[in-house]
Amino acid sequence: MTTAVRTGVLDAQGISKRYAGVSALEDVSIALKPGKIHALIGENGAGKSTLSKILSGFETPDEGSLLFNGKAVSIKSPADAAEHGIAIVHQELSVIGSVSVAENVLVGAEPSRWGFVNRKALDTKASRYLERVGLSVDPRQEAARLSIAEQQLVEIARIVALNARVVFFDEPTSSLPHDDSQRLLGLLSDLRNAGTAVVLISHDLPEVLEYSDTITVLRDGRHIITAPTSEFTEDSLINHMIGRDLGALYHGHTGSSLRSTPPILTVTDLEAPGVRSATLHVSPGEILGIGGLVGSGRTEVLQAIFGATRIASGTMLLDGADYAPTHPHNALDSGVGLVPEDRKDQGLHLGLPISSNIELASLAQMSSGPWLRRNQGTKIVDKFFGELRIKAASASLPVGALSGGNQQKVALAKVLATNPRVLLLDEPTRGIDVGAKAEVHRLIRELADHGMAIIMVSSVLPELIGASDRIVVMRGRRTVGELSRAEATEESVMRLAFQGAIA
Amino acid sequence: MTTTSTTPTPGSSKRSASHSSSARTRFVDGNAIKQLAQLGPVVALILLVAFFSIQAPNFISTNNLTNVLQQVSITAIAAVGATVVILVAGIDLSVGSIVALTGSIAALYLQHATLSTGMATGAAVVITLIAATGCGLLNGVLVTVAKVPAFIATLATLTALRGVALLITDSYPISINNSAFTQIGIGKVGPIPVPVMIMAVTFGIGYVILHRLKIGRRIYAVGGNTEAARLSGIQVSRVLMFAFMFAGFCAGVASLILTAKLSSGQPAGGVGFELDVIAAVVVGGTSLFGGRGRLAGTFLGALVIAVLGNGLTLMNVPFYWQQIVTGAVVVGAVVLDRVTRGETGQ
Amino acid sequence: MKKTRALIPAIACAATLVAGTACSSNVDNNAQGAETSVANVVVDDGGCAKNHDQIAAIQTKLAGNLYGIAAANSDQGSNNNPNPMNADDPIKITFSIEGLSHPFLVKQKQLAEEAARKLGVEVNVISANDDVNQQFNDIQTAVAQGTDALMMMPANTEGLNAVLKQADNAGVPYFFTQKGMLGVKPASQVLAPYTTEGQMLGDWVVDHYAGQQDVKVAVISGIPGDASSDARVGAFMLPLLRACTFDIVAEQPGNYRRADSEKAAQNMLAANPGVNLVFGANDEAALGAVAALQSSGRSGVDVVGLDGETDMFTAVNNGQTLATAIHKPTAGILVEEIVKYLRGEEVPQFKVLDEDLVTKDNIATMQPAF
Repeated sequence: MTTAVRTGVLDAQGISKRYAGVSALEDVSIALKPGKIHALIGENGAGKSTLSKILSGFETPDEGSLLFNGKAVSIKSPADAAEHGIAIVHQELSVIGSVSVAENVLVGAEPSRWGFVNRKALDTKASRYLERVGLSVDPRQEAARLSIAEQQLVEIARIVALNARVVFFDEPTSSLPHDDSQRLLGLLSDLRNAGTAVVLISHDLPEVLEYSDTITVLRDGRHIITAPTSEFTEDSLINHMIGRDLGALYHGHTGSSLRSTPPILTVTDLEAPGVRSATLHVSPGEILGIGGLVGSGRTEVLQAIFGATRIASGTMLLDGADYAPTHPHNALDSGVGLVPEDRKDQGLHLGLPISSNIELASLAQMSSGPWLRRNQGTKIVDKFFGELRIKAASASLPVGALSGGNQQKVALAKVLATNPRVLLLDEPTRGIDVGAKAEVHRLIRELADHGMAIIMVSSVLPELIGASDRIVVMRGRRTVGELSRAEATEESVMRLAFQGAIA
Repeated sequence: MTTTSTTPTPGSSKRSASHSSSARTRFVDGNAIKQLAQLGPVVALILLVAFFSIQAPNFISTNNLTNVLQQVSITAIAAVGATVVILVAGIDLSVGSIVALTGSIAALYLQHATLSTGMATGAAVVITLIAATGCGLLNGVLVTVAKVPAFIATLATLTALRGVALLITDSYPISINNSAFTQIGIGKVGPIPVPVMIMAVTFGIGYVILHRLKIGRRIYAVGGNTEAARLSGIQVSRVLMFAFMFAGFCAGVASLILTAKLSSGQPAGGVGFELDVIAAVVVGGTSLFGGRGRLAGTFLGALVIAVLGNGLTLMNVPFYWQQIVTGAVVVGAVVLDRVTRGETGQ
Repeated sequence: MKKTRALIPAIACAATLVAGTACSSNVDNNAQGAETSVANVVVDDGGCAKNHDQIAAIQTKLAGNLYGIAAANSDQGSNNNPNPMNADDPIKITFSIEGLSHPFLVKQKQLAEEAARKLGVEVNVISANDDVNQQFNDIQTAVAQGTDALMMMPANTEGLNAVLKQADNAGVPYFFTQKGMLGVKPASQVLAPYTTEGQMLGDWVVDHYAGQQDVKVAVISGIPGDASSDARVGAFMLPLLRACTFDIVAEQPGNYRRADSEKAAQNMLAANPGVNLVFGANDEAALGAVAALQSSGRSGVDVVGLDGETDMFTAVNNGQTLATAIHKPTAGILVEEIVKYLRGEEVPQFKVLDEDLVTKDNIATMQPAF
């Protein structure tokens, strides 16, 4: 394969992208060469998926340019990208379950005459591609019948049929067992050998080191380094990914002396939807952070503890007694409250007034029998308006009219109004400005100081480390390690997140 | 750097002056178009009344207006229950069949009752309301236990309950010979027809439920965002069950008035009634997506449709034109709802 | 706790249904408020003992049927207007018609409007869209509007009593055309001879099949619970049952509409391959049966109906059907009666017109009713 110039088949130069004033990518350049597997890595929010979305036409950059074979192009839509032979295989499969495998493989390119699809030709042609990816299934059967791994292969067969020049694979092996992963990565190598430029986005460092030719590390939306894989080790990769200035973004948690009180909540070997095995405990006055990569099961653990999902096995003890909630209202009655990850869809009713939102989880407390006691409600709403410093002209405004930070405070107020003993927080400062972040953290620490036990999930490492008294790390839907405040550094957390041994 | 943390005590915070959390302020700071939508039915009603008082002879007469109120009561009462169901983002298509069935049951009972007319009437009322609430319970079970979508579940009961009505009456209308019972439909207390009083009471009950009881808050929450409601500890199934049972109950009240008015149980009657009821709710500004709506709007919506029909009849406009105009009004109301929904970004 | 509370209505509902079902077997609405005492019915089974019970049941039903009573009392008794209008006062009549979903109903409307035009009076036709409640409201509105007279085709024999009482109280006279109601006293009614025409057709069928044994008959009745359908079907079946040579093998409702009747006919023909004759309670039902026969390729099955509509005339001419009766729409005649009454003339309490039977033999001289 000759490369006349140093540019590859698809280049990005100086790409910047901002979402609502927050920078997702800042001046990033990357060159994708044919016949190479190019890995793109970085921690949560580093900009990997934004970059691949821009390169595959799902987003347009605010600044910067794209070059195809050295010539400037504008790729404004996935259709544009397809015309240039650029394809992306998402983590969420786009296999259409209700049609046949063959139809999936050749979607959009079915052999036809005058509008009528030639079934036989379709099946034969599809079979050839299925053979190439090593999938031996009847091309006529419904795609929904295949296993996830097989469906993934169907999708790759589709890509092969498209004869794409550049293919992005977003976390292709994250939900596959080991053998299937190996097989898949072997296919990627085949594609590479056939001359396609393959981009592999992955969190699995060993895989990346084994299969890729070039690695690009992104951090905080910026390009950090691009070099041949041979020049990296796992440790050096982790260093590049996190090497930020441990400046004082989250300070002030002088960490009140961790009282050695017995835990109020103990979770042992919990198995639930999205959780393979979780073991942790938290004491009154303690802030337990849960770290790990996206998809490691952190949100799911909180949901299971809150009773929002069904527990399959394992035990939980709350204050010494068996705790097995089957519905959120069990949890709330027992004094366990959750502020969910997505405040718009899960945490708040945007159309209802602030006061209604705050009261919603404590309706039983503010009523006698079926009758609402309006003044009870007003008292509670007033209290939290003050304590949380919610900035709004009146409590009868719809919550949807507030800023992100104030919305989050309302979501928090709702749960606090139930007087929980254990508070579960899922990304409590996501999408809110710095000032509000600081206020929320101040409040969390205060609550802990007053005896509440707090479990906090955060994808922002400095926040996790700065705010937590102790950190439990999850990987592959299991809790794989625990770090005390002294032991917790970005490096130690990341190490566990990427490499923590799965028993 | 440490941040000083002082826990503000209620009342001592400087912030408390900058907000009023009282529920008294209701119309301040609302989105203009959203408010207009709430006023929509009022404006429409005023325009219609003005128009018909000029164009339709005898429109503005005590007699005619009393008739209109009386005629609208049946639909409006059933619409109270329908409002609650639609608020939880459900729908009840079986209203007409519940009315037919429970009316037939009441008529059958009265035909064979051996109690005095007054006692028999009381018993008939109780039986009808229990039967109607039971039908609502059936709908609720299908939706919450069998997890059948409300549209399909109530479509099924629409057919099945109608079948039961025709079965137990052999398809014949059952006449009623109880003078006390018929008063429910045609009686008057002073100048006010009994159905109008019953309508006022039913709206009152609906108001209390939605705004003075716990369940009311839960209803709005479930309809507005079911997942967030669940994560707030609300047992969604119970709320849905209540909504469907209440809708059944209201259908039963409507059925009593209709059956008394016609002094007969009509097993084949009320076909298409659910559409009139839902139209009233929708024109009144309640969103079919749930979580947004007011009872006052429902009453106005029912009134707008009834006045429209009455005025056009007085103007001798043929029935099919009335249907076309009514349809246009309903569509207009739904479009307005979608526009305002977009405005508030829900 | 909430669950047990919820169970109680369910049990009550079930119990009520059971009670209702047990009671329902005694329902016989046509007997309510009848002018003839049911106990006085003399059962005449024409010597056919095996059909005695069936004949008795039909006769009992017909005794309380409005149309039978009307036919028996035609042109007897009369009414006078206590408040006649002046000769040159304009007259406004409201015609509340049950619906407009059948050509006969449309013809009624046309005839009423024609008669009104000829007499120089105003007729306003309001359709109740086949709903009793709607008709109730329509009449209520018309009375409030101050109409001079109310003429009606009631959607149902039950349900309008209260509003007609209101009309009485307001001094608005009301009249029935074609269909009527029990238990009320209209100023006059020109009703259709549902029983007479049924009987006339039945007699003709008995003659037509004279000498044959075991003639199998399938019946497509009208609207369940409708008195006119009961009258036609009952009166038709009586001669056949008395003759003892006919076997009524099936009866299904066709709702007086062609599509429903076709379905009913298909089902009955499939279940009873040996059917010789199909009786449709109206011409639409008969035509539905014809369509069913055509699509199933069956031949040799006779079809008869009632109404005398244009499409039926074509069918008789083609030999697809055997006979029908001219069911005269009476709206025009009633308008004349109303004007007479309003101007102070005497009008009969009941009026039932004669009808003609139509077969291939005399069809050339006949005109369709509508």
